[in-house]
Amino acid sequence: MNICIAGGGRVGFHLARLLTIENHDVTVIERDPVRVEQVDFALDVRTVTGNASSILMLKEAGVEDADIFVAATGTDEVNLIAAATAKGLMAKKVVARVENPEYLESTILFESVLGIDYLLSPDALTALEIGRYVENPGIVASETFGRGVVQLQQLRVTKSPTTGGKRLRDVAMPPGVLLGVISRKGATLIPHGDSIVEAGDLITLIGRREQVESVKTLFHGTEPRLDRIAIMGGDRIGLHLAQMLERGKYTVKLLDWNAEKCNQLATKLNRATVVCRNGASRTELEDEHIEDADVFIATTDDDEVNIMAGVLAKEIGATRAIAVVHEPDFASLVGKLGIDHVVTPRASLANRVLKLVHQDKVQSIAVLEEGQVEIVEFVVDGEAPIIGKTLKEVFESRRGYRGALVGTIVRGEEVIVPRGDDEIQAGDSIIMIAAPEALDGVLKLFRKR
Amino acid sequence: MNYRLVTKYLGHFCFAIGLLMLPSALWAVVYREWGGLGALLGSAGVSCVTGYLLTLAGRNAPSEFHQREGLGLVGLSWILLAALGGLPYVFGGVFTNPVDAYFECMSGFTTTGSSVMTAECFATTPKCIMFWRSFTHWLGGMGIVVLFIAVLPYLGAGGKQMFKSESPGPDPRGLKPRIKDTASVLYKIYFGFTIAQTVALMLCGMSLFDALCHTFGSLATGGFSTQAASVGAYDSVAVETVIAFFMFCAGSNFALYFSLLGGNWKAIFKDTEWRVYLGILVGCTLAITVNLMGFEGTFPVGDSPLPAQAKTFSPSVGEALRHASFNVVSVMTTTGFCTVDFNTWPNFSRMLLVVLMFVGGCAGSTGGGIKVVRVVILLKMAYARLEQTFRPKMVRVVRVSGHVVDDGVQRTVYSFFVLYLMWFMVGSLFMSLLGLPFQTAVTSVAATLNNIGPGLSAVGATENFALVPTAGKLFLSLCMVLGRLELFSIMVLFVPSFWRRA
Repeated sequence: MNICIAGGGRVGFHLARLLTIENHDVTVIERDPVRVEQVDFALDVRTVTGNASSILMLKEAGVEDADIFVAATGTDEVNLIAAATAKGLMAKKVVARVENPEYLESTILFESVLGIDYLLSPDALTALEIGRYVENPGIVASETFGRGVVQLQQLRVTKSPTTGGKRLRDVAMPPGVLLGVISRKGATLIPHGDSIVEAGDLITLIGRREQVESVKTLFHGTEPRLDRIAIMGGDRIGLHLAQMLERGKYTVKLLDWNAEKCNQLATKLNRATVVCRNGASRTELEDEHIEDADVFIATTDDDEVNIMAGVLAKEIGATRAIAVVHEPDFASLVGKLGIDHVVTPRASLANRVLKLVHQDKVQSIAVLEEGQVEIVEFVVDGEAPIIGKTLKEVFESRRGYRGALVGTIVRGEEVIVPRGDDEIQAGDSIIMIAAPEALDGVLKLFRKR
Repeated sequence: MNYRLVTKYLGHFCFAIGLLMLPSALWAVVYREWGGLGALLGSAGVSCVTGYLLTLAGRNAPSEFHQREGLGLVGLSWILLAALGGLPYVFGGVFTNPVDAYFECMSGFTTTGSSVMTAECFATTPKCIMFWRSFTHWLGGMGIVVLFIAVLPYLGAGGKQMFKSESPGPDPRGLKPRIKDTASVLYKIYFGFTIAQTVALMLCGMSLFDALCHTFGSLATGGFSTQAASVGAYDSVAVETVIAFFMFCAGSNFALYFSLLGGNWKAIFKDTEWRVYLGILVGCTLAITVNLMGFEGTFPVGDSPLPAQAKTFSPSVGEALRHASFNVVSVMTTTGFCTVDFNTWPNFSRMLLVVLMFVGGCAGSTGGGIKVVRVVILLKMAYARLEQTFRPKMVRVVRVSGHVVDDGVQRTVYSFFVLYLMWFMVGSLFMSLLGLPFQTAVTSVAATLNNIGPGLSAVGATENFALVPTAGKLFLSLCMVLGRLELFSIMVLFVPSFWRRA
C-alpha cells in the first residue's frame, strides 16, 4: 500500500518503521533536515524535506496516489491543513493527529467540512489505554473477534501453573483456549508444549470468551477492584483520564504542582478532587496519603519525572503504579524498577493507524508489543489454496510461514483451537497470530490466487 | 563491523555473478565454441562454489546492517567480483597473466573500456568470451549492487546505503518510496534503452551479436568493441549516429527519464546539469570541428588499427563534424569508442578531450568522471568566493536547478574534487615511476580514473594497455574502481578504524 506520512518525529518515525516492516511503500515529509537524515538512514522510505502543509511538498511526496495519508507532526494546525489539503489532492484516506481537546470536540467541522477521515489523538488513545487497564487490572490488552464470540486477552503473569518447572503440555488447559504469545523482557516468542511460563511474562490468551475467563485464573491471582486512583500531572493525558474515570465509580485524585492549572482543571472536572501538589516529592506524596491509593498514574510530559514518581509512589506504599513513557527505549527498563505498567503514546497512535491500514484486507486487527506481533481476523476465501490441506502440511512447507500461527477457527457457532491435523474450510473465520513480516505471505494462502 | 553478514551477502553476490555468466555461455552453443563454453561454465562453477562457501561461512550472522556494512560490502564486492569475472579470460586462454584478466574484467565492470587485448587477441578470442566482456559493461553500468538490490528482497534500509554508494553523483535520491522499486525502475529504463539500441543497430546492418555488444558498450558508457579498430571498423555514418545518440542518452541522468515517463517533459529542460552537459557537448564539438578543418593528418580506417593502412586526408566540414561529434560524445560520456585515432589530432583538440575526460557525464548516469553537476557546483562556489573578496558581507547561496545546495553537500563535493585530483597526481607519479613516458603516464591514469578507456600516445585510441607493467595494471585497476564508485566507498577500505569494532 502507498502510504504518506507527514512528520518524521517520534510518532511518524515509529509508524514508518512498522509500515516498512510490512513492506508498504512509505514516503515521509519532514521539515527538519537533521531528522530527515535520521529517517533516511534508518528506514527504507523515501523522504521529502519541507513543510507538510505546503501543497507543493505534498505533491512532491506523491500524495495524489496515496492510499493513506497520515499527518503526524507535532503541530495540530499543520496536521489539519496538511490532511485537508491531501484529501483535496485525492488521497484516499486521510488521518490527522490532533492533540488539542478543543479540536477533538468539534469533529463535525473536520470530518464533514475538511473531509478528514480520522482525527486521532495519541494522548486520548493513551488515556483510553490506561482507563482500560484500570477497569481490568492485570489485563494489558483485550480485544474481541468473531462477532464477540472469541476474546483475546493479554495479561501479566503473577502466579503460574508452570513455574514449578512444569511444562505447558502438562498443564490442564481447557480445549477452547490457546496461549498464543509470550513476551519476556522485550522478546516475543510463540510457545509450544515444552515452554515454561514465568511470573512477570506477558501472555496472550485467545479463545471462547467464557473459557478465557476461567483460564485466566491459572496465570493470574484474583484482582481486587481498583478504586482509589491518584493521577499525577494535569496535562492532556491526565485530564482525559480523570474525565473518563470520574464518570465511572472511581475516587479520583488529580495532582498538579501548578496552582493556576489546578484552577482550570477544577472547572473542567466534576467529581474528581484536584490537589495542588508536586507529585515528585516524597513529603508531598506522603501528606496526600498516596499509600492508600490502589493505583498511582504518572502522566506528565516528562519521562524521567513519571518514572521516578512511579517508583516513589510504590515505595511509599501505593498498590500499583503506571507510568506514561514517551521515549520507547525506556519502556522496557521501567518494569525492572517495579512499575506495574507502562504506556507509550506513540505506540497507541501507530497501532490505531495500523488497524486502518489493514481494514481493507482483514476484518479486525490487534497490534501487540509495539508491533512485534499482530493478530488479525479474516474469512477464508472459497478458492484459497489452503483448503483441503492440513495445517501441518502447509506450515511446515516454507520457512516464511514460521512466524505465523492459526489461533482460532470460528466455524458457524463452533470455536476451534486447531491442531496440526486440522483442515481449513471455505467460509471459516480465522484469527491468526503473526509477525508483521510474515503476515502478507501467509494471508495469500487464504485468498483466491 | 558485522563481518559475518558482509561475508554472507558477498557469498550471495558471488553466486549471482556465476549465474550471470550463463547467458554468455548460450553464445558458445550458438557459435559451437566448446572451449569457450568450458571456460564460462567452469568460471560460473567456481563463482557459485565460492559464493556457497562464503554464504556458509556467514551463516547465522546477526542482522545488524548499518552504513559501515553497506560501504564495506559495496567496495569488497566490486574488488572480488572483478576477480571472478576475470576467470573466463584465464580459463579460455585469452590471457596468460591473471592480472591481465583482472584488469580486463575490472575495466568491464567499471565501464572503463581500457583493454589489454592486442589486435591478434581480437582474432583468436572465442565470441562467447567477447560477449561476456561486453556484458560486464552492461552489468557495471547501472551498477552490479543496484541490480542485486532490485532482485534480492532482504536488503531494506541497508540497501539504500549501498545504492547511494554505488550511484554516481553528489546526492543520490530514491525515485520511489522503496529502494528496491527505485532500483527496478532504473533497470527497466536501462533495459528499454538496451532493446531500442539493439534494434536500431541491427537496422543499420549489424549482426545481433555485434549489435548487443556495442549496445552494452554504449549504454554503460563502457567502450569495449568487438573490433580492434572499435566503431571505426564499420566506417558507417548510420552506426556512428545511433551509437552517439545512445551514448548521449546514457550520459544523462536516468532520473530525468523517470520524469519523462511520468509525462513531465519540462523537467529535462529545467535541469541545469542537463543543459550544461548539452552545452559543453555542442561547444566542444564545434571547437574541435574548426580545429580539425585546417589540419592534415592521418586517419586510420577499416579493419586494422595499424598506421600502415591509414589514409591521409584533409577533412571536409562534414567529415570533421562527424569525427569531432562522435569522439567528443564518446569521451565526455566516458565511453571511449573511437572512429579515428584522435591521438594524431592537433594539440588543442587532444587537450580539450583530456579536459572533457575529467568533466564526465551527469550524476545518476552510467558515465564516469567528476560529473557535470559537481563541476557546476564547484564553479558556482568558486565564483561566490571571488565575489566575497571584494564584498565580504554578501551572502550568496549556490543553486542548481533552482534547489539550494546545502553546505554539507558543498563540502563533500569540494573534498571529492581535492581527493580526485590527488589520486590523479599520485597515479601519474606512480605510472612514471614504472617508466612510462609523460603523456602515456598522465593519460593512462586520466583514462582509467575517469572510466574512459583509451588515453593518448602509447595507450591511445588504436593502442592498448598490454605494454603497461603488471604493477601498473593492478594500480590502474584500482583507479578504475575508485573512479566508478567515486572514491569514498573504496578509500574507506584503507582506513584502519573502518574495520575496527565500534
